[in-house]
Amino acid sequence: MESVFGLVGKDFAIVVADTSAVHSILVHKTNEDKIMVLDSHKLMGASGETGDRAQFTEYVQKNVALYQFRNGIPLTNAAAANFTRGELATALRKNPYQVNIILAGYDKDVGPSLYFIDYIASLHKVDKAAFGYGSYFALAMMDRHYRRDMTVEEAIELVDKCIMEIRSRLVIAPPNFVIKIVDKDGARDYAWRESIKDAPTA
Amino acid sequence: MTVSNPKEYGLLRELVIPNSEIIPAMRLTIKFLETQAPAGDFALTGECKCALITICSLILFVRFSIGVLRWNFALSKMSRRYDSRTTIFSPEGRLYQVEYAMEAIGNAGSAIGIMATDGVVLVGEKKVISKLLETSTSVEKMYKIDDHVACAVAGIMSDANILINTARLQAQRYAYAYQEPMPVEQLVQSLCDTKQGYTQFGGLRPFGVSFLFAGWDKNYGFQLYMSDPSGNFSGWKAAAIGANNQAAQSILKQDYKDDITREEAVQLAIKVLSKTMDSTSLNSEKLELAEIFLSSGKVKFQVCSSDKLNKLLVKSGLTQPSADAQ
Repeated sequence: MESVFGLVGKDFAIVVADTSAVHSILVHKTNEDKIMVLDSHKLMGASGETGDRAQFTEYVQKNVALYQFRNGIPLTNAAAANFTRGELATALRKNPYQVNIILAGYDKDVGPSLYFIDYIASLHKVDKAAFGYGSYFALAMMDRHYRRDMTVEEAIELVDKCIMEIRSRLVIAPPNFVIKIVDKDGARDYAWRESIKDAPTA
Repeated sequence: MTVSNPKEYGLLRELVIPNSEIIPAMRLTIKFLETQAPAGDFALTGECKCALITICSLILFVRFSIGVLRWNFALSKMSRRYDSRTTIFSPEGRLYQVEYAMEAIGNAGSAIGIMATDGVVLVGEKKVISKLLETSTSVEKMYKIDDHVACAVAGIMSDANILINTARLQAQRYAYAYQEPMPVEQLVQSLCDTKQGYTQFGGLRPFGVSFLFAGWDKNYGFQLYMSDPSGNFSGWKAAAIGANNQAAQSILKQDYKDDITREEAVQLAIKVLSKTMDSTSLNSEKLELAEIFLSSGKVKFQVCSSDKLNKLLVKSGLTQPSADAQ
């Protein structure tokens, strides 16, 4: 089942997500990217109802882009997080989105930051966060091994420990994961951890 | 259609009064014919009177119809000058109402803004100074929009109050959405969008207000913006609005230095105002001074007290120290 988690390192932040698109007992695909690159220095990892996730993350992405076009300056990560929370909060009493979000970003003056936003519109600035069934294992591993001053290598090692734990302990473990990173050089793919390849289409 | 214009009213009178004169004229004619005609020689019969009345009513009806047609035609053509609508270009491509609004500001008390290395200075000229006047505050034209932005006003104050209200609303809406202070330029932009609307959408006059916005944000530091009724705005190192603003601008242009401190900026602003103001002597009752600066990492908006202002004026040699100060 779904696993999205993230952590803040020394001068970067990492977001990890499983890449399974499932419906009922069926796995439709194993290379679904659940981490949206919001702008040059923001990552939005999301779990939840597939349609809501796609719709909502794109909605936020387009609003962040609109802000930048209108004002010539990018939204800070804190502002983007608060905007996202606000949108979820207004939707909550009308037609709520079933999405949980981990927002990672890098601001020139603030450095890396990570925000935990859940579908009932609570917002927390945290060093490490996780959603989904995988969260039980990822949080436990991060509680044990996380340090604030981790290097990228140490952090990836921790991420791999988390993935290993999910794969070995979770009954319905997703096979593949994507890891993305954001630092002063921008937001980008870091690596994929795949144990199954989707069969190539003819 | 309501008649709102004196010209249209004139047209109405032209059309109504002559018609009403026709009836007395008709009566007079009948009377005249009756007295002139010797009895028996020419009898004014009933049929004759009837024919006369018919002819007169016909004339009345035709004249009335023509009048109505003319009036409608005049209205549809709107053949008035191009300054009667805010949203219509003149053949020379100008919007007169907007220009008149700017003219209104040219008569208002002036305001000067100067950017310094460590802050922004706003100085304003108070026009209304009566000893009997009781204002809620001593401040007349400096307004705090948010913790990090303030503005000085020149123009129609009742219009300014509306705009200041929307500016404050925008600033708080932004803070509510993003939980951080609104960048100064965006605030000015949003206000100027409002102003622009009244130069394009009909039926309403434009705001007769110019602003000087001074503020600080983390993107661009200290900033000074000037805006006019057309909805234009631009960033300045030193700017002047209101009466004699061109004279003030040219003095500022001469005397402004890039590395000016806040203290020097205050002196410069006072000097400029003393030269461009109509009144001969400066005193704290005619002036307003406000500054925006950083104090222990936080933006501070400070309006100068009249005591301090008097001391500043004495220091700059523009007024003699008052008797009780000595």
